[in-house]
Amino acid sequence: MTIDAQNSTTRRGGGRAALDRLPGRSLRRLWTVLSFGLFGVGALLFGLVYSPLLWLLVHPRERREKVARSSISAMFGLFIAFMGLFVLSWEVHGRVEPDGEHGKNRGDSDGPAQAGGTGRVVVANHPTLIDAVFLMWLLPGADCVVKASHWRNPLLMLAVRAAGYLPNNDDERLLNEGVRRVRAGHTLLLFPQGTRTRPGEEPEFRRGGAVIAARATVPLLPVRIRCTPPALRKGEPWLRVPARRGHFTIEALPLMHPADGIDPGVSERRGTRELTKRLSLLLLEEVN
Amino acid sequence: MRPCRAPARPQRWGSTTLNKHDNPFQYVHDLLVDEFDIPGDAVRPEASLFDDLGIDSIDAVDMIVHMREVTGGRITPERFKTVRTVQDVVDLVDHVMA
Repeated sequence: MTIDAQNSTTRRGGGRAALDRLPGRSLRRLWTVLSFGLFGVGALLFGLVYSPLLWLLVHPRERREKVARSSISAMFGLFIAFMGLFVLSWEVHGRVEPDGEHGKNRGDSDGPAQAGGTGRVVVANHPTLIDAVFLMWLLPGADCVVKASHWRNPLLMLAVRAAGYLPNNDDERLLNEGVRRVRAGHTLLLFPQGTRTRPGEEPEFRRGGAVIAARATVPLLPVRIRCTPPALRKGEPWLRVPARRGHFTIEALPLMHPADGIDPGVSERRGTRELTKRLSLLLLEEVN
Repeated sequence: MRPCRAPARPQRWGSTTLNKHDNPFQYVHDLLVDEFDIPGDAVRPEASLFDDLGIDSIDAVDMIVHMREVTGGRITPERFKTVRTVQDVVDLVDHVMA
């Protein structure tokens, strides 16, 4: 496994191509079970042991949420490394994380400097069960719009609360909080199609991400996710492992600025609709 | 989504006032035309906000915010959830203004 962000903008991980077929289906099925088992144990420990400690020891809330999100990111990295041993591999193109977030590579961003500096909205398509896991790993500390039912899921409820993620069932709060947070320099990750793509269906993109970016005047980072052969799709049991290990290609596309290519006189409503349409074409476009 | 400019019309209500005596349909009509670029003749009582007028969930939030301003905070997202047609919005405004 090599992760090399220093010299190249492409990083790869998981098994090498020659090993694609090596782990047989039954091993990969077993490993998938173990991986999700590990995920569950991790979530439980996080919720029952780690997050109470955070509530006790880390103040104020802002700082606690940031620590919780960074920890979740690190745990997801472990989870992906674990899955990467036998059941998947991946390559990441481009810089997903904002320039300068870690105090380096500042200044090559192609947009106007913002007051908060690094605030941005990351929007991605959603082909598999673990897209959020990948992106939250790649975006340490990012805020995320998360399925509201996780707030009632015993395994995840403490983690999503500790991290201060935004539930997707309150549009008004989502818009206001989303704008406030990206203005404050946060990265906000969301999946405009709301839920995973159903095989054979064209997902519809909602324009909340574009609206938040427009109202906060921060850029949008479109991230295109592909998985071949398809794995962990909506409506499929996750134990149905494909013939080869799933290979993820995660591409950070050029930043988009909400005002780009839209006449100044156009209303926000129409402008963000057009932007969202462009985003969906870009992210759902069939490559190859 | 093609541009659909509404014809210029006099603004009778200003944008943030609604009195007991004002006509709620006229208010909803003007709100949809002025703030959401919807052609005036499409705003009929039986028109569905979502299917006929292309109101989406973001627009719904903006409508609620606007209506809350003019009605003094009595329109909540929960109440708005039952709304389907223009007439439903009018009834809601009427109800909270009564």
